[in-house]
Amino acid sequence: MHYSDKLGRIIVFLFILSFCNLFFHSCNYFTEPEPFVNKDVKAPEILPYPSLYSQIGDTVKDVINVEFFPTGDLSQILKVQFIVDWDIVATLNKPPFQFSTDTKQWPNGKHIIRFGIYYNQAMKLGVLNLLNMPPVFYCDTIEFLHAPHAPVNILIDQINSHPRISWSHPAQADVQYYVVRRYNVSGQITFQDTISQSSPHVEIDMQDTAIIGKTVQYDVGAANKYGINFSNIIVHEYGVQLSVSFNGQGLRCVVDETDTTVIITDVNSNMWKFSCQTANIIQRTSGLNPYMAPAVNLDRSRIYFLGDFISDISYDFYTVYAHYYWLPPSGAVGLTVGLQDRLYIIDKNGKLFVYDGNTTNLISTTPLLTQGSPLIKTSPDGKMLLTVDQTVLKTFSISGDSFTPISQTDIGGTILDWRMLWTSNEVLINRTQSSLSTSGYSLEIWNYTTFTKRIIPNPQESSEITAITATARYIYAAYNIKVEGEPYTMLVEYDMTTQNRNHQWIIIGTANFLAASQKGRCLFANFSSHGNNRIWILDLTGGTSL
Amino acid sequence: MKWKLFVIPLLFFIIQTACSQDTASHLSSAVFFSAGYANESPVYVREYYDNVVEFYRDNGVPIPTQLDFGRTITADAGIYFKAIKGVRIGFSIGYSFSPAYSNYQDYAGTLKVNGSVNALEIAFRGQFTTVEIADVPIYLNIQLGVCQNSASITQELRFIDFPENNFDSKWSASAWGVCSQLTFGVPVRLGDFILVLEGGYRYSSCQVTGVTIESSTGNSSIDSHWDIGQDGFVFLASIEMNI
Repeated sequence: MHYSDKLGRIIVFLFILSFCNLFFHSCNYFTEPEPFVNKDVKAPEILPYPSLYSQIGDTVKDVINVEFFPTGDLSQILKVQFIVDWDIVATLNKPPFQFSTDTKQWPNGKHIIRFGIYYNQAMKLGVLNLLNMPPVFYCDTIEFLHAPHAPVNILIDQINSHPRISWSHPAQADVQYYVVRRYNVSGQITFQDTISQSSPHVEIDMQDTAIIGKTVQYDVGAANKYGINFSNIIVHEYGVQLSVSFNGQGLRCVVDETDTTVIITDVNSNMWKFSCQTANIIQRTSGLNPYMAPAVNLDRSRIYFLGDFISDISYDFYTVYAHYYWLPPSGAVGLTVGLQDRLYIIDKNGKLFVYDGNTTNLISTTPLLTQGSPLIKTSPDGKMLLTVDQTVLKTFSISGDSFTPISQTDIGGTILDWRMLWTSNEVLINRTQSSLSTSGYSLEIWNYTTFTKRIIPNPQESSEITAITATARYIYAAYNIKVEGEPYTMLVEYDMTTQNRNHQWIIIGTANFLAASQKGRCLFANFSSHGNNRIWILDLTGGTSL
Repeated sequence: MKWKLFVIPLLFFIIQTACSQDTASHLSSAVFFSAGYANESPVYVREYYDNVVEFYRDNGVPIPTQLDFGRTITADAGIYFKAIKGVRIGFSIGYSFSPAYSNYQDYAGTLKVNGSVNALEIAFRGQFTTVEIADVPIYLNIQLGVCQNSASITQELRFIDFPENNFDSKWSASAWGVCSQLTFGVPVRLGDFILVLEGGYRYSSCQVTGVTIESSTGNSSIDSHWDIGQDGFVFLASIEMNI
């Protein structure tokens, strides 16, 4: 064989051999190879740590304070994260690994507390380095039992005549009820009320309340069984000079109290008395009301009297100014103040007028009532009007100068006095018994939306109830009784919810009016006996008279 | 490697037989099938793949590259028609597959980063006899055509203790382009068949205008101007049968 033939065959042989080698080798390309097993990577050695339970128990009410890895060689720890329900709360890069957080940012209930540990040897941890979280966890389940956040978006109504406040549910709300507090200029709480949880935008404060000082200050607390958290105090320019509250309609008293001072305005007997009490009642100043007013209503900065004509008393501190307003031709018997200082007036024929400060409009061409009644009230939001037509309780929807009847019910007796319980849509009514076979008086709580009632039992059967008042929790009624022929008053305190009697006092004389202080600490009672009037101030906290 | 014990004597027999036969007269119409190996590399895809693998290495996972792009197996089938003496023309369809594998496992889980480029092509072929060396003709094969290349890179991350953090991702792109191939071949007659051993260079260019990414965290499309074509040396073995 020629030399070149041999060379050619060898070349072809090597070519084919190489090709076959490559080709058969490349047949493995279709098959995914077994993964490379890295046996150098091992789980890190876990350092001992104290359990959360040993440090804080299985429940926490407010703040968690815990230290992780308090002892031991921490040199291998790169950083520790404190994680609640996958929220990274804090990251510490060096000892001591102490964490503290307020649990109120989470709702009540069980939560998983995790401590994420990063080790210095993290780079040897293989695929765990790819976790979007710490490679090592310690987990415990802790139950948060804490008071809810304070309410938010607190607003004080600037349109209405009276201080009204609204708010929104706090975040993560676990609220059972709200508490509203008002402060005086000295920072002392002068008012407190409890609002049900279902009313996060409640407008509180009685219609019969105005504020002392040029500002008002409120805070609102959200509460549950674990506690209460109050908002910051909201300060609002209000520009009035006297803090007063009226009890119901008519000739009643004006009250404010601080820890050491009680200011009373006794409008009985046409006399305004601004008084201060420390140990004794001291009269500061007084003004003569020239008219015996059958109805009294209170605006933010004015007190409206209804006599032969409507008068408005501007009460700069210790000073009384009177202004006079239009009166219906037939004479007014009742008035109330609505939104934007509108006066709603009922004349003797039962017609309703509205006075906006400039003009007066007759808004009921036909009589609203069969006869005039001094019992007329607007709700705190100004959207509802309640009035009494002899034995019938009527509600109307008010919008500006127009109104629409909503509902009415005959409560079965002549209403003598009432006291609005706006926060519960109820009205405390003192009425006569309707049945001719029975005489006497009945004290009842009527829901003016459902017209259902609760009866307060009369401890003296047919005794006349001469005065009533109420706080958010208690009802006070004055029963006229005879002791050895002399007129006495049995003053009884009832629980608003259960209607049970809590306290009672026997005081000589006939009660003309009752007024409870807004904080519920004092009860002001005017008694007449043998032609003399005396004001009693009962300490409701101790059950004795002051 | 036991297969080599059988293949090497078989090759000796084939070559001994082939070189003793006349191969110059086989340039007639024929069908053919060829398969082979190339070191084609999809430059852009390979760069992206390497970046993905490098990302995991930078983040503490020592994942090895078990097979990188640049090793392609290819197969073609077609037909030749005799044109003039020493020249045949025809066409072919072909397929090539270029994979990349990186699989890793440790006590906590597994990580797989795999890639592939698949190419389908339809081409016009021309074959010319150039010179003869030791009575063995050397063919020049020229191929021009269109191709469709599809590239994908998949990532699969599995945690043993944290399955909720498992991750899957598939990057894919597809485009039409042009392809060409220039090879020199040596024919070897095997009875009624002719074995042609070829070596040369091939090139393809496929411009993509967008890629899609499907992952366990959501799907997305990204405008992109990449060339997922390949180029490199190719070695083929063709079996021809005259028709």
